[in-house]
Amino acid sequence: MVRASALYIVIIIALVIAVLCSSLIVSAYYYREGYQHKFRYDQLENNLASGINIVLESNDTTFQISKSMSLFGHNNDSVSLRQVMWGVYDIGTVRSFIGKDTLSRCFMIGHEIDSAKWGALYLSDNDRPLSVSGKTSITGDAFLPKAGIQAAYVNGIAYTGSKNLLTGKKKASEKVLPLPDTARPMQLSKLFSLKGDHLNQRDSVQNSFFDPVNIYNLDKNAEVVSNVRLKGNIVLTSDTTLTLDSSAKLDGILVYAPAIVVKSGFRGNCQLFAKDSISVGKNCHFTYPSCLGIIRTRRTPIEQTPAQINLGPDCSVEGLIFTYEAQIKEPKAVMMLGKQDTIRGMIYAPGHLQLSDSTWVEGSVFTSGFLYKSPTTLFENYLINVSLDGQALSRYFLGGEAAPATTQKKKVLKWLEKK
Amino acid sequence: MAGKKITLSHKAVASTLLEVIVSMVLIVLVAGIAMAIFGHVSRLSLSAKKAAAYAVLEERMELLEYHPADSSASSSNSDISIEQEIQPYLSNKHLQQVHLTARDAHHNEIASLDKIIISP
Repeated sequence: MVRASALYIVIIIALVIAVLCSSLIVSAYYYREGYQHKFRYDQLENNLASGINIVLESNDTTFQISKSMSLFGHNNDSVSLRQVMWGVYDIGTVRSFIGKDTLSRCFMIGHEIDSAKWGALYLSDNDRPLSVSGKTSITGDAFLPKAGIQAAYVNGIAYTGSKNLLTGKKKASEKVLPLPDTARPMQLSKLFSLKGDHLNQRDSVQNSFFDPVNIYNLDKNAEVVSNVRLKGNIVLTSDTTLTLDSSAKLDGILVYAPAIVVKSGFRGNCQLFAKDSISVGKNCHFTYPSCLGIIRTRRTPIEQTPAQINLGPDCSVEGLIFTYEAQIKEPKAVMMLGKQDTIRGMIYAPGHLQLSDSTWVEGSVFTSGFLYKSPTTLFENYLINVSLDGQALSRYFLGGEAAPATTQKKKVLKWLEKK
Repeated sequence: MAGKKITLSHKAVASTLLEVIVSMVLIVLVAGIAMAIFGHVSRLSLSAKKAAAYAVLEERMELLEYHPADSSASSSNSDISIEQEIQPYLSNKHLQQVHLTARDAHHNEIASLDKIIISP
């Protein structure tokens, strides 16, 4: 029998049902929100990957200015793409967005090595053989003059290496070194005259690659960059000799100056470009991807001295060391590596390359000729106690835009930033 | 004696008709609104089938991108069949636009995925 006042009981039951249903609805709503969020971000990741692939397959000029586009003509596939020159490498920035949701990635781009042109050594053919002495070892293919390779007895040192003199295939070299892409050095040469703000050396500066570049110009007086940390999208220029102290921490930045001096004990990741000379003290370490380059598009009467890169002992460079002269004239550029230096990457020396005792190159050496200086004599095309190992280089190594023996295929060299 | 007069000594224990009607209306109203909202939320939510379809499509896309030799034009995975369409992207011979569609046993589209990949 139903008691009187059933309405009150029904209202309570209805309230309980309503609360139960509401909790179910709320949980389903949050589940849906979570799923849709994940789905949206999966789609953003997918669009981002598509954008990165487009940048990697585009030529250098297509995305110099940021370009927004719809990938497939739908309303949820918008991306913004940009690719800019960053020294010998490129920087790509890709942003994908759906409504207010955005994902961004910034990455450095390098070029894949051309295995057909790659070797431990490319010595241009100057009708002179390559002579090896001491514990010299060449591992990997080598492009050598027609006169070949021979063991030699120099300064009382006999050859004590492998009987074959070379581990790898012997290929014939041309009279002229494989030329690098000339467009990039020409573009880089224009950046020596960049003007910007004065660098306050008491500050640490970090600039994102998603933001416009920060350019700092040092005064005409030779300045020492010390006790400062510079990271990211930063270019440092100077009108005269620029000195980098070991207390300066550089990470990913570019430096342009007529001459650059790096003090002993420096550690960093940067690309240094000079017109005349780069002098590196002892025990300096440049991590991958770094670059030391001399760029001379024209030689003024004042610039009659040879361009020079000089590395002190116990240094390591991971990346690229090169000299570029639009017209190779005497005196040729000279690159000098110190004792127990380690280079992981590529050396491109169209002038002379002087290697010292126990120099270790993991990668490739391109040169027109080696120099070996004893206290009394200067030897040409002699290698003494030097290791050149083309096979020891990481298979993930990527070269720069200006480097020879690289293909047009671009890959992500390093992830820089993500948002 | 015409008869005996009946007198009620207490009130009857029962609900009024109005109370019962209002109660029924309330219950129907609350349950109706709840069902409508729940149905709407459920309809827009991820079904297990759809989630499985996306996982299969992503797996296939990865295969196409990194191991193209191992992927065929169309294939079926349990009750999900995948159709793939590949065409050059923006006349760039190094880029391909891949469109993958997952369909159920009744050939209804469950999920689709588009991506631009670098030609192998």
